[in-house]
Amino acid sequence: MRFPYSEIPVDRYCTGRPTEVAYRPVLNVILKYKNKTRTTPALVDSGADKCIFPTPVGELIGLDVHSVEPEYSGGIDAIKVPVYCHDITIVIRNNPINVRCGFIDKLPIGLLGQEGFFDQYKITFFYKEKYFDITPNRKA
Amino acid sequence: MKAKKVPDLSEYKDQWVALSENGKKVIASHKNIKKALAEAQKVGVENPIMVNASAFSGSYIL
Repeated sequence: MRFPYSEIPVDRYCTGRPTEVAYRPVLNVILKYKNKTRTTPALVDSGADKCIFPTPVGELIGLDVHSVEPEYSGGIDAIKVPVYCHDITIVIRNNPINVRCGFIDKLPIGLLGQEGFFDQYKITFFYKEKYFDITPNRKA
Repeated sequence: MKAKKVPDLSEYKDQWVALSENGKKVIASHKNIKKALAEAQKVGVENPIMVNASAFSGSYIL
């Protein structure tokens, strides 16, 4: 599956208006839980241990996100935040994958990380050509 | 391949935005994601792409 990079206007200097663009490997995915689905963007992020999405998106598909004991995870600023994990389905261009997915309250965008995504797909980035390829791993 | 342009969402700071199914147009926005979705569905967009505007405005190191 081939996806274009997203060209995103960014306000790098907090001026209130975008001053330049950033190119990021973002794709729209469908999150599914029981019979509820919602579409949201997700960043392909090799630095994320697992797939993580914003809590409000999890609530849209009917999850009681905070009903489980949280794990704790940190980002670049080393502050640990609670992560609530649930089993859901992520659909990428009609290809469903069952994933133990984390939800974080203040996360702005979904992350497709190592566990649940990179362990199921081979991902190749072509930044110069502004696309990336996602190929399912062959089953052993 | 051409990169896919994302609309400028800087005016929707701290809000959830419902984008059209092709991701090019803002249909509705609200601080509450459920209200943003309901507003989009009210105007006939059943399955908008739900985006937090702050995801697409600043720089990130993730």
